Amino acid sequence: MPYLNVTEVESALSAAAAGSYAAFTQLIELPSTTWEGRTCHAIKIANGGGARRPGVYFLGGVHSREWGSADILINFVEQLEQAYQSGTGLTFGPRSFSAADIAGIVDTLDIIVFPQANPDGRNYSMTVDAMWRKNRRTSAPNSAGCPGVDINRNYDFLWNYPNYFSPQAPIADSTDPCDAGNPDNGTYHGPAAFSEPESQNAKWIFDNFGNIGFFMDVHSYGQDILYSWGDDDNQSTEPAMNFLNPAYDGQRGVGGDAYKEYIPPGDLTASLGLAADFHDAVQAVRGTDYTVKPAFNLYPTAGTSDDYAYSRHFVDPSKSKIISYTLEWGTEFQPPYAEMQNIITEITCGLVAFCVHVRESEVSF
Amino acid sequence: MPRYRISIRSQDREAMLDLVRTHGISVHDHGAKQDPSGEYSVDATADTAEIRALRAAGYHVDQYEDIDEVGRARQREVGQGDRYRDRADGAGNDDRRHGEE
Repeated sequence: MPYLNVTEVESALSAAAAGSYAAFTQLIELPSTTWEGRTCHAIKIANGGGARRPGVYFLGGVHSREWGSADILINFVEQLEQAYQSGTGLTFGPRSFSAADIAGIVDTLDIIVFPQANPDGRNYSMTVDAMWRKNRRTSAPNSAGCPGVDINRNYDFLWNYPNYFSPQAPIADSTDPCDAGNPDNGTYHGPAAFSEPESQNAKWIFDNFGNIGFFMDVHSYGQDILYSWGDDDNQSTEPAMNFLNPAYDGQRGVGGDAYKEYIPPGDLTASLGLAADFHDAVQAVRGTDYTVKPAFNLYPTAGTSDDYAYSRHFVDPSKSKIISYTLEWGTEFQPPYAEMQNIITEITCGLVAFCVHVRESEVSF
Repeated sequence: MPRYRISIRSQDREAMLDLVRTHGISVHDHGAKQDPSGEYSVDATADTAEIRALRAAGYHVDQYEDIDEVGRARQREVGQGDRYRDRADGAGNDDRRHGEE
């Protein structure tokens, strides 16, 4: 049973919102068409409504070559729907979730899944260059010879990083559409924050579902569960030392020095607790031991989805706080599909546990 | 020129940072790890000239598969057509691809 192609991911979403599933799902057409003219969809799974329902947002398919992310999220949608409709639980190897767990997720949370953010890139990777990472923009300042923007460097979080980071920061971003002559880098951040239809669509979901309080961007690889921040080391004692403070411009991105990014202690606790439940559920399936750690280690990033999501309420206090993660599943970008199926099972288990934790959480929302 | 998945190791933190700052190596996102001995490692993509230059600069480089060769093999594991559409006729909601697994 091979990887889903681009058409199949969209067909899977349509099927997941059709027939009797329509009673508790909503297919969401996203407003920005891709550079190659594709229309993208997300799906909302929720039985009932109300502004007080916590929202959980799972994003995937951002980097073209990380094919399994869309397959994981489609499987999650299908498993959750089928179990809810049939009034059963879910079992992944030795780990089980009760029918009450499943009903609790669908009846009390808004689950929003956008599994294929970058279909142009996925199609190119699946048919031409398997290692392609970016989207397929060819408009200026890109060109046919240097196409593509890294969607996960195009969000409005320290996007214009040369203004904010230390010249010594080993940042894995690029201002050059040709990626400094090395297309393998694939980290061109685009001509402006949110210049790309793919990141615009991901942002549109944040903007239009204001109750989203939890977010995971599904990537590969590394077997890591990464929480904010990604621009520098974390600290929880100096609130004024933060990404919004221009006094620290030119200092960010060098680990072990004076500048560290502020994360409130309560948010750190919440981030670690949710990540731990996700970790334990993944590990329960067949023993795979993912590492929970901050997104920053040796190499800082700017313009990423997880930091953008978590930063929104600092920039605009009227917005909800979003506890955010990047998942790096697996040990290679494209495992043989037989192995990918095992990964799909263990990550789906983790995603269900993530939702159960949110439902049961006492995290302030 | 063939491209390879490589793993680069060093005890020297600054040398690991220079992979990006100086050598322009395509390190994989968030991929750096440190083992209990303190040695750093990170996966990356590099061609033979880059691998040669890294070794000359004193890095320990483990070279693995040709990523384009493996990529072409994986492309043969991508579905053809539209299995959802093909199965939809009269199948109803329960005929779901992953649900069958």
